[in-house]
Amino acid sequence: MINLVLSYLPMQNNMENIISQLGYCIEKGKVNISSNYPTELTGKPGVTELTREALNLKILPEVILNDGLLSGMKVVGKKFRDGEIFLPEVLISAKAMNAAMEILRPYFVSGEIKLKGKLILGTVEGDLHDIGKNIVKMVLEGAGWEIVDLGINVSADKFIEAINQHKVNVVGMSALLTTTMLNMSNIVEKIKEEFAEIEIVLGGAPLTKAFAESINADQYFPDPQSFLEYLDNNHI
Amino acid sequence: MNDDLIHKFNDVQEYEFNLNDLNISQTFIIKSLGYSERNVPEPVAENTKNIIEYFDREMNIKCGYKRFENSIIKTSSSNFSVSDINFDCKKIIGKYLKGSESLIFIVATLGDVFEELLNSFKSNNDYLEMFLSDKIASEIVEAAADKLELIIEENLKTESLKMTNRYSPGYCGWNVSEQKKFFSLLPKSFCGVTLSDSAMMIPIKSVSAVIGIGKNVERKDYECSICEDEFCYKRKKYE
Repeated sequence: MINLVLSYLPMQNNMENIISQLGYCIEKGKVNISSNYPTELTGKPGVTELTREALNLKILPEVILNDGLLSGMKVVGKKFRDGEIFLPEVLISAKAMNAAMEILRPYFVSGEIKLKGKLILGTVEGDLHDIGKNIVKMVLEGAGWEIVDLGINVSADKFIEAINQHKVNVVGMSALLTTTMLNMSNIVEKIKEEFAEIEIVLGGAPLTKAFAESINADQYFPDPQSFLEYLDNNHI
Repeated sequence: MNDDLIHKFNDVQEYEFNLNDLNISQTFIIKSLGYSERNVPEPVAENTKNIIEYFDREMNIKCGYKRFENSIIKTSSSNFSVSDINFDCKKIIGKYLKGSESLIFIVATLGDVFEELLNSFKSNNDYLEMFLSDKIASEIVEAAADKLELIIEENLKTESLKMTNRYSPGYCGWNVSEQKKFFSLLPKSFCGVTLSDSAMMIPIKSVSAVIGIGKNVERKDYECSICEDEFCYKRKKYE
């Protein structure tokens, strides 16, 4: 009995250590052992190695995700909200997060761990800019949301077809300039005609909360982190 | 001045710049991201440096302008016209252009280099690099337009004329769809810039703007206090 406890304790410590290291590596954006950043972790395992090791130790994938990876992202989110870090650091962490999610993908496919939910993203008809939309996608995916990415130049019909196909509750759309903002108005109207209950979230450099309200969209967010917090608080 | 004057008619001029001609430095970009030299994360500093070096090697910045004289322009408090083509620029811009004796249409573009780099980052899911290259390219194209303004100002010295700020379709209430009329008054594919069906400039990192010139016009900052665009980059720059 004593031997069992003694052999169990280091293993337990090791598991807890890996989970805590995972969170820290996410916070610092340490993707793998070859990553040069941060210098304090040079030559040490990153998220990729630690996630694999955690799985080898039979730590439940759900525990790896929630207690390790997402707890790291929570720290990142809080720092961003408090103005301690800026969007580039969120992206650095999100890249590490996505590397881990890739390793965990089989467990999502098998249903062993569940994603938080699914939503549709697209840049509206007439608009060819997708950097902002892609950044939002990366941050949301890294935080455990499944994204149906419709790409750029997305018409109302294409949004509606995707809503029918994927049965989502939230659609996010972005635009860069005033003409595409006007297209946004028509697209929101058409979607709301078909799906009154669907929540439409807007983002993009020229947009404002007032504009979103004026075209009957439900929400506007100026950055991916605030969109993520809204989803986590209202759609899980 | 390293500017290479490559094209000159009476009213149309084109220039080529490289990055050395503009005041874009790593420090400037890092500050514009909200960091100081001390607290900038290593990947941000390193990637910023690499992207600037790449643009410095590869980028050929083109700028140009066309001047429209008093006989073919009209200005009022919320619109202006050139050769009977009317522009509904709205009151924020209209009141500053009002009274101009000539109007100058300017264009500046970074060419395809930015999009090529962006696509390579996209294919590797390098979102930090995408974000930084977009930010750096935006700063460069604005700096190129600033430099073009200085050249125009220099060219105007002999005429003792003053200039307004530059005002772009898509900002301060001026609908970007008017870009089509704007470019119809310029030589075809001016500086290599064309428009998409939705009036967006291709290459993406391009600037177009109108400047009023005359004895009685003034250069004033953007009127962000009466504009509803809370997150406009002009507001961030001037407030």
